[in-house]
Amino acid sequence: MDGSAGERAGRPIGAARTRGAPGPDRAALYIVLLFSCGTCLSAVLQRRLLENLPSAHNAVELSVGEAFGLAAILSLAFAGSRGRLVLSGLDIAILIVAALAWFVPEQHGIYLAMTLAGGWFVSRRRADRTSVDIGQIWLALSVYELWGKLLFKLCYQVIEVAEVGMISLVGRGFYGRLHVDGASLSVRDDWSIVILEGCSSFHNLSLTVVIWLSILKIAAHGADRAAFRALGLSACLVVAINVARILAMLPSPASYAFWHDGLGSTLVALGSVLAAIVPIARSVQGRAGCLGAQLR
Amino acid sequence: MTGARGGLCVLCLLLIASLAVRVHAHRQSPGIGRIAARDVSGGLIDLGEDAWLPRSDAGRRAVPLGNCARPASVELVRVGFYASDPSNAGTRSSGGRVVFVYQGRSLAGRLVTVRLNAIYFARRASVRLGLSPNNAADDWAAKVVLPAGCDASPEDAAAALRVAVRSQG
Repeated sequence: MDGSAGERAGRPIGAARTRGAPGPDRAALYIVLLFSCGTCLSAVLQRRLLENLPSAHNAVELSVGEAFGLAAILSLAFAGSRGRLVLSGLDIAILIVAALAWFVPEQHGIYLAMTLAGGWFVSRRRADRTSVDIGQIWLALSVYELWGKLLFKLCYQVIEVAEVGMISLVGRGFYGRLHVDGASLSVRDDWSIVILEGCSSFHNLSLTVVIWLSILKIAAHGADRAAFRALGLSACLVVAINVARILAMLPSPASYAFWHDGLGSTLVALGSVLAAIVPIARSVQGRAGCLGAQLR
Repeated sequence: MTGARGGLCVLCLLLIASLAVRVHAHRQSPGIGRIAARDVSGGLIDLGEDAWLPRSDAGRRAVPLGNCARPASVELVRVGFYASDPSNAGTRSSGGRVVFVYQGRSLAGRLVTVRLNAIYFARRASVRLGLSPNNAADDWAAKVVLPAGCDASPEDAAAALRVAVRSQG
């Protein structure tokens, strides 16, 4: 059944295209899934077995991006709504070479595999759109897990100036005597906190992009103006949540312990994930509602 | 199709091998956190050209510069992602210029913190990959504050620091 037949029958165009598309090449499908899951599994095993166990806050934060990325890849590979997944011999060779990065003894370095494979899949002109979409997800995951973190670490002391300035600007609206000294903030004489790279408000922006891109791919929705507006809103919410968290740590050591290591940090992590999901999900849902109304 | 199946088999073997290597490394390791455990009991700071400054012997010192009326002041500052901005650490430059000597390189200019971090990252990565030994003084740099009016280059400052360190034996 083609698209026009679908419209005549009153069915959604996307579903008609999905049913009309030929099934995916099984071996190509398994290779893509094995590569994606193998990279994430290697990173998970590396951080669980051989590196310091992250706090509950980090555990939530780190696995969410991978989960969304893998869900998007599964959706793209099985739905086949953007064309049949086809891999050439050269594609498979590139994936095998990239998979050698699974042996890198560092959890973020493992994502070099997705940088190489994603760069190859996105840069080549292809008949099937599915491979390009999967390549984009791989690149987004590698930016989130590797390049974004690295760039952030290298430049944080430069970013810190703007970060502390923003926090103090907002904080003066809540605390009458907020004192700033370098990266140190205090509202009382015997207690202060220092903003380090891991606490930055901008830290979760690459996670927000991964979630945004994954939801767009799962919904087979293009990155239009409304989608970018949703991304901007998510980014602002994520930054605002973290600024509020840092300001909430200022009054006392007990509030610091709650928001930095305790239940508060988990609530912030979940809140940040929701802030990344809800705007784009509502945007996609709104677009689907408009399309459904037009078809009726 | 045969090529695709062959590729699938190779990927399976790579995944199994990488998992086996990690499990083996985990069993061999003395415990979680071994990578973070570093000897901080007195390393040597590499000033380049085979000159080394013992960290334990490194208070603030004055280094004479040939072309300058006043000596440069030298102190150690911590480098790394979690350290404070080395440009703001220690002595603040009052009209003079600041040069960092780190891992044998002399660095100055606007993006000096980013460059220090990049060298620090490269060192940490090479230690993690087993390409270089774990040196406890990797995260310390010499901060040289050149007095106002002194037009010595970063390389001159680094050379003077090496001479001063060697002369002290």
